[in-house]
Amino acid sequence: MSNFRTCSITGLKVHLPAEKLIKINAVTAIVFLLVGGILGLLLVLTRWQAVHILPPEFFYRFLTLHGIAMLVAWIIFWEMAALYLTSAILLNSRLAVPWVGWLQYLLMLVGGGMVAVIILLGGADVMFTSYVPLKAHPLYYLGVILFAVGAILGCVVFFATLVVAKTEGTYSGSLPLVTYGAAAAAIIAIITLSHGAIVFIPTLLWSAGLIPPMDAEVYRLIFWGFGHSSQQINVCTMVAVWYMLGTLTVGSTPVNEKVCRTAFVLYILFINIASEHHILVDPGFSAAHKSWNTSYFMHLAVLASMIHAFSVPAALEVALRKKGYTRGTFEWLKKAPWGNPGFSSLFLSLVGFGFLGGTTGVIFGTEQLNILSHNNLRIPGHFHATVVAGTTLAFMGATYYVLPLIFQREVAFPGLAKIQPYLFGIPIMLFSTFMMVAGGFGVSRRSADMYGSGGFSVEYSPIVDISLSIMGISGVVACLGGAAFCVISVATLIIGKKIVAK
Amino acid sequence: MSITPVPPGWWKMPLHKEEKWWISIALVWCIAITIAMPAWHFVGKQNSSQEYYTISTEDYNTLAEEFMEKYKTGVETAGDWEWDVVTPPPGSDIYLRSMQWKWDPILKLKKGETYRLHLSSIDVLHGLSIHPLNMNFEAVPGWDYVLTITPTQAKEYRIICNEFCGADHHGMIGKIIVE
Amino acid sequence: MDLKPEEHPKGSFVLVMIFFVVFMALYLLNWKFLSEIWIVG
Repeated sequence: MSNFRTCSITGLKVHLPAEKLIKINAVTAIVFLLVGGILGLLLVLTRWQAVHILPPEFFYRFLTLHGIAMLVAWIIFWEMAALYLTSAILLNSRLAVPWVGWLQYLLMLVGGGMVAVIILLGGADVMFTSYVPLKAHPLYYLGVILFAVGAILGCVVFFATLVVAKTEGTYSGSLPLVTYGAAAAAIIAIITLSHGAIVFIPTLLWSAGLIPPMDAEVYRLIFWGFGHSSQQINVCTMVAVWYMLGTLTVGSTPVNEKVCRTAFVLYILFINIASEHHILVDPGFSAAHKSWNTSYFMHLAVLASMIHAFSVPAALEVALRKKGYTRGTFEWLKKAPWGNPGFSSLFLSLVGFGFLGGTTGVIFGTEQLNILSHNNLRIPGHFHATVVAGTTLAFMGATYYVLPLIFQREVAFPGLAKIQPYLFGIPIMLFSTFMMVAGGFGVSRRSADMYGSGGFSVEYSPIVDISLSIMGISGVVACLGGAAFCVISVATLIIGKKIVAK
Repeated sequence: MSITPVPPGWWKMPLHKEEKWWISIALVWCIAITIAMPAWHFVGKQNSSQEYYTISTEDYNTLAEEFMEKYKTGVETAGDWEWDVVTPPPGSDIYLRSMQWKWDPILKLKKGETYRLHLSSIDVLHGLSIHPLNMNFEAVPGWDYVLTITPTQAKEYRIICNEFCGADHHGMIGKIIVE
Repeated sequence: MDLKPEEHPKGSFVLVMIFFVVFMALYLLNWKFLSEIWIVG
């Protein structure tokens, strides 16, 4: 009984129910990316004070939805697709319990939809963090809980599939590194999404008028047990995707499997510990507690990232050197396939995440240095480097392979696809950099205005205006780059040339 | 290949010299940046405070108003808001109150003198952000956060709020005058 | 894998060392900025 097709390019057996789930999660992810991107455009045109397009009420509303649509919906839907791909497809296996996969999709879709609608109706002007005692409509919290439960189910299906593949003997040896990395991400995901469900249940009951509010500081502690670790799911998945893109674009193999796998284990062990870098300048915790926690246990999770920072390019370099590009120190880099959007996405993502995102994350999350960083534009500058220049760009690069391999269509507008990673990645890095410069001068995040309308005016260094303008222009161009990706993806599904098995 | 299963034996593979060097350097760096945090508590003069108490918003409000009453030396108005100007003696307990949507009182402090600054909110979370210092702390309802501060420069500082607190969050403002 | 001398990832090593120097510089610069604000503890 064949519920499978054989991929004409890779020779892998593709389980058709798994393929359906990959497709629907990927398409939904891109829809949320588009929504979040349009909102992002309006937001950047407001923080760019020279334009200042949105009135405050809509700025705060759209900022809340932008956060949810991007940080939660786009990324986690895409990660669900990645989980099914790295388990069933890469292991030549059937997906365990596909009906649970459909439950995953439904819960996430309904939850995400509820959240989006409530926000747009004005029932949740609370930001993605929804800090108590700010209160949203009960259906907002319910929506987030449903979404989180759905995502947990996706992880369960992933692990069940690993068990099925092992017991049915669909592969031999150790899991591919990419699947190993995805497993690390899924473990982190289950822990962090459970935190999310846990903190939102009492908040939901309070919003519905059934129990008194939680202590504001306790909420912050548990929320960030969900909030930051959920971003580390993205780091882990992104790193797995980097290795995958290396193989797909230049045929690279990890230089040392032990090194890469140990680094993923460090992520699992230590990444969930650190939520307190969000509360470094809060009352309620001793300095010893804060610094132990913020360091992700002696910065061992940072060590893991630094290890990958070498292993990923090293794998590319060795593969290219083996192809003959051995002249000097950098011939391999010059002769790398920069015209392949999978490769350029990979490399730009590596640079953006590493130089801009990772360094600033460690710096701003240092116990005392946080005094200079808490809640100003340095923070969104940091996370646009990690989540957008890093994770989102890597996912875009991988999508250029998912389209022909899973959707079985040639990528539409290949000329545009070739430049899209540059059109998106470079402006986002500029956006992030100049946002951080403005933040360094104290410009507040999550603010519809910055000159003080309540009475006394606030003045800033002239560097701030210049920085915000560069941030504004770069942000607009980046939105175009993101739109290009959405256009290419959607067009591929509609008019892309079908790849017929030979 | 990263997308294919790996035959057993990968654990035994030795590291190449570039890997050994890089991992060693990275490990030393990670230990250094970990030690830096407790070390700064001893050698540095800017640390987050470890003095905090739980307190109800009503009680904090009472303490703040008593403080303003005791040391009030004037009044300032701007826009729709009015602030008490308060000149407390050096070494004393001073109070900043945050609320939707104002920081009060206006504190008049002396350069080089130390004060015990109490920070809290009487409604939702607010973010203390002192300009142009770019010094930031969180004001949490239900918690009295005591920061022992010594202003080091004479200037008129602005306080803005950088924790989203509702409709006029961006208009929430205050002032500290250091002489 | 066993690597021949010309296959060693020297370029990647140079890249991460550049990254490391940039990291250290930004990190130390921030401590300097911190030392310039009010005394607080």
